[in-house]
Amino acid sequence: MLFKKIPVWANIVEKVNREDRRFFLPVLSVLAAIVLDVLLPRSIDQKAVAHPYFTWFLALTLGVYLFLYFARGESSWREYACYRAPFYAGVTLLANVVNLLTAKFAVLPVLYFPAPDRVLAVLAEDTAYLATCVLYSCRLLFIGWTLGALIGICTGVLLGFSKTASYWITPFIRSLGPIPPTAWIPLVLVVFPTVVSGSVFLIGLSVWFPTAVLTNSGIANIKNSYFEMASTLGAGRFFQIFRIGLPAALPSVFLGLFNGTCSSFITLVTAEMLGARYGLGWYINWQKEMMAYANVYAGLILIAVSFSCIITGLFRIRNRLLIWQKGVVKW
Amino acid sequence: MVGHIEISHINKQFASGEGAVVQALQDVSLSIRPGSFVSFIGPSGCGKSTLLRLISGLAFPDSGEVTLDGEAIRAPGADRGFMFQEHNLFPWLNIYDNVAFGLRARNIYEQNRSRVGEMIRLVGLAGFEKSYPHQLSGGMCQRASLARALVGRPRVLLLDEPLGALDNFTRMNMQEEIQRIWQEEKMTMLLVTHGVDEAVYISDEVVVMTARPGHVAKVIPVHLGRPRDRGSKDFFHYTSEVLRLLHYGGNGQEPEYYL
Repeated sequence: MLFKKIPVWANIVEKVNREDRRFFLPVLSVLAAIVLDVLLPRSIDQKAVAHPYFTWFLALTLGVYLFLYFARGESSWREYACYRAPFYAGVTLLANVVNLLTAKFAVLPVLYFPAPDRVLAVLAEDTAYLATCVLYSCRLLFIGWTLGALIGICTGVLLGFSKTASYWITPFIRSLGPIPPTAWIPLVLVVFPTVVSGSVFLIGLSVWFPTAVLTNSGIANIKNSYFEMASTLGAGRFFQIFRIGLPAALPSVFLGLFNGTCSSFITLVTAEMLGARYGLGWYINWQKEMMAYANVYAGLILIAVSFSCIITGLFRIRNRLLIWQKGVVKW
Repeated sequence: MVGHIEISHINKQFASGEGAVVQALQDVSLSIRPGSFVSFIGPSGCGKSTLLRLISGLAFPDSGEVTLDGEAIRAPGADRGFMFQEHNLFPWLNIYDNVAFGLRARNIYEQNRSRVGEMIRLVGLAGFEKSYPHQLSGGMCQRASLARALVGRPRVLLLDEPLGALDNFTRMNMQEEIQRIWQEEKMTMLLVTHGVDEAVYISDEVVVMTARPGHVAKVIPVHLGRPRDRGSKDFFHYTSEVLRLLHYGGNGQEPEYYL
């Protein structure tokens, strides 16, 4: 093979397991993208950027990939890199095509479809400002989410264990719960003193409703014999609520939290568009009005990354707390 | 010795839809000696499980009274351990925490920490403390359930067909274990069962009940030494008496044909 005549390559080829031909797919895909990006001239319609960010970015991902593959010999990292290799190659190919359609040939309207390196340039050059936005959004989300989740779980427990509470609260939940939180915006603007407190309320509301409903239904579905068992063991009412009710309902509580989290993202982005000093939703709205679509895409990327991190984190917590379900349900 | 149960003139009805009423128990009176092993046997619907639930305090009689050592039973309590047909181990707790549950619920775990391991060893589950219920077999789960019921030193242990769902060999092993624990811990044990063999093998007294309305047909004291021999003639005498009372024993007529 031609590769084997070049010493560096010969070395790599030797290190790669014979069966792992997959390893080369991303390498080829990245090299193709870089070569095309460097060789083809940039369309005159696309604004120039200070540095070849797209090439740098591709090189960076390739570096990470090679590091994972070679860093620790036969390890789980290497397995992961192998497993993800076709996917990574495919995504790189997609990026390559997007780059050709936008940066090189400007097939798509330039105003709305900026070249990838322009989006990367925003991320690289506006880092401090964007980080502030992310922090503001996360702060708002954290406060609203925590309040909504706590009050939601408490409401669900109360509904599950107190007939009186259920009698009085259930009709309100049935009628007010399904209203999309953002539909409250006209009222919130009037009632709350600041935009931040109003936004916290809306986010809390969007987490509260599904959490309360699913906590309640989780408790309603607990086998009665667990409570009977506990009472013959001498457990009082509170002990039964917190040591039987909550843990047994926890799978359902997490369903509610997941639903709530997803709807809280929607609410967050919408609430920030009301007018905030910083924040991702606000940033996107603002940049859209400035017709700065590269910045809009940068904001979208940050939203995708931070929200998926939050969801992943929540899954990790669930997996840790519900480890006892492993083997009981399809995990 | 404690664990004396007096059941006097108990009546209990259940509504069974459409206004129909089922007389689960009619004028049932029984006296259960402290430290004895009593089995309740009868067709389904004879109210034997209901009787156990009345003693545990999970249900209440329409009239009549149940007392434990002279005190009327008003609520479930740790002095009466209960073991259901299903093991009902809490799936989110491992075996150790399941067994320790009752002690923690009563806030006496710290003083009785050693009792948890002791009970787990007693039922032969040492080494499985960290396992979750779904990782164990049905028989092992019932053992854990037994340990959990015993850990708080109840005066009475109520066993509601705990061995019904087990296979024959596991069941016979468990009968041995329950008998051994009963002898070691010296408590009153009440067993609801469908197994005539099981009832005679393990009990001091067999309470035979009949259905619709549920009432006590006869209390048969089993005068056999322990350990008992399932194949002996005396053993057979008792099982056939129980079967006859339940109308499964034939009625003594001449066979219609011989083989």
